Amino acid sequence: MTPVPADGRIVIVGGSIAAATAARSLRNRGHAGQVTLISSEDHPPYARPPLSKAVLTGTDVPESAYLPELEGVELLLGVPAVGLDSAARTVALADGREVGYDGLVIATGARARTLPGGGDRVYTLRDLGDAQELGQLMRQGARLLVVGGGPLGMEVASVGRELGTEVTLVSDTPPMEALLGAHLSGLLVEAATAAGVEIIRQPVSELQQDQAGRPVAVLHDGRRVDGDVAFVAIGCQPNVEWLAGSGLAAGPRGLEVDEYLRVAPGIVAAGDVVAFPAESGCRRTPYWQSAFDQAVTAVEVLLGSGDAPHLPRPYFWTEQFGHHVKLVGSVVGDDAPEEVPAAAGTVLRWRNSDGAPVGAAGIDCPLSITKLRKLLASA
Amino acid sequence: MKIEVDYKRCEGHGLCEDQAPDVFELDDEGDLIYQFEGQDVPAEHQTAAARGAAACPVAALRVVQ
Ligand SMILES: Cc1cc2nc3c(=O)[nH]c(=O)nc-3n(C[C@H](O)[C@H](O)[C@H](O)COP(=O)(O)OP(=O)(O)OC[C@H]3O[C@@H](n4cnc5c(N)ncnc54)[C@H](O)[C@@H]3O)c2cc1C
Ligand code: SF4
Repeated sequence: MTPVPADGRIVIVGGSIAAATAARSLRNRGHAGQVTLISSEDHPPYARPPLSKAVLTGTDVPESAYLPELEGVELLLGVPAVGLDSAARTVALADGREVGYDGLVIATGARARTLPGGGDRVYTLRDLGDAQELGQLMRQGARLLVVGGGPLGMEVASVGRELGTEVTLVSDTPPMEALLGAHLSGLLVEAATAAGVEIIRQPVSELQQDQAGRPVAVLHDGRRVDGDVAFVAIGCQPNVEWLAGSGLAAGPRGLEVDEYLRVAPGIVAAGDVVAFPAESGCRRTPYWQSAFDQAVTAVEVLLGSGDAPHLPRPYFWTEQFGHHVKLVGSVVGDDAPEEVPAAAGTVLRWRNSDGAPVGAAGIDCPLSITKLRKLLASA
Repeated sequence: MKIEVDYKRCEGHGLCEDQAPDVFELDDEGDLIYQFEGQDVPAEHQTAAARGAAACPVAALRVVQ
């Protein structure tokens, strides 16, 4: 890819950690040209992880999640990009403006997936407004029906119990198992149950609304479970619709990139929108660390200042039901972790079939990510 | 440039340390040790420090000029 000239204009589409990191990296690398960040959100870039934690409980005000201010970056907020002409190198905005670029970073992330039906008391959680609304409902004591046993479903269920609301959680697979394996899933399910969450292990066939307007989940076996409000957390889908007709390889599985995060001449991508090459085809890794690391590499590639491909370094954490779990790498299939001696809390390590360490987790343990990673390098 | 650390917010992930090991460090208790507490960040560490601050997922690190 021909690097963007030193005084070239770089446009970043997106308004969260990937976009903000790209903008900051451009400035850190001394890029002299104009940098414009285009976001559909009215807020400046902020961190999403606190939205299912301290912002949801109401402990923290929304502004506390704002990322450090971007200097020397033109911010176009509250205006979505609606089209891309990669031949003319222009981005079309919803208000009719066209913005030209020499280099483009696509960082439009993802949005919550939801289920049809259930009426107007069905919620998802992706942005600050969602967190404020859902938090307020829970503080008012609304009985919560959670659909989905991934990190968002479990974290919101945990906050719900903390705030004293009744919580029923329906999940087709064991909660947290996809990310953390059977062992840690067991630990967290036990904690959730002890905290008073009713967990029902079944697929939801559909959402309906009862006569009082309450959402009702109809389960696979015909059972019906209701709540004052339903919270649906069944994953996220990439924001690629604005790229329709652009000729880029974008679809429901994400925007395909190569291992350098290149999309097309003059275009790179980073974050939740990206489907990155893996053994089993291109896959999204919708987590904070991945969005951050990808943005740094994407900018280096765009400027021609780095020649290393993006190397995924998975890191994931969650806080729920009194437990704080951090994982570097990944858990492997058979899920028989070994316990590593630790001064506090529990440290587990997973090995692949060749005996090489592939994942390390700290449970209620103060080891930082750097130290956990060392457990993968040694032994 | 100065960095203000909100120690109450810090959750000890260490993403700051990962980006800027000469500026941020987590001790064995998971407590953050910020090398330049209360002073200006020396010029040669400013870029790394800013990158570390920006990596924090709970916005516990604020850059002030
Ligand atoms: C509640 C919640 C809690 C989370 N907790 C954790 C956690 O504990 N650990 C973890 O690792 N990850 C967590 N995540 C995931 C993490 O926040 C994401 O991986 C990260 O936000 C991805 O950043 P991104 O910049 O790629 O995309 P996003 O955060 O999705 O941001 C995309 C941005 O682009 C904007 N945009 C979209 N379309 C357009 C358009 N057409 N034009 C202009 N702008 C557009 C959006 O408005 C948004 O600002 C959590 C996510 C949520 C929602
Ligand atoms: S990244 Fe933030 S939360 Fe993590 S150790 Fe650094 S300051 Fe604390």
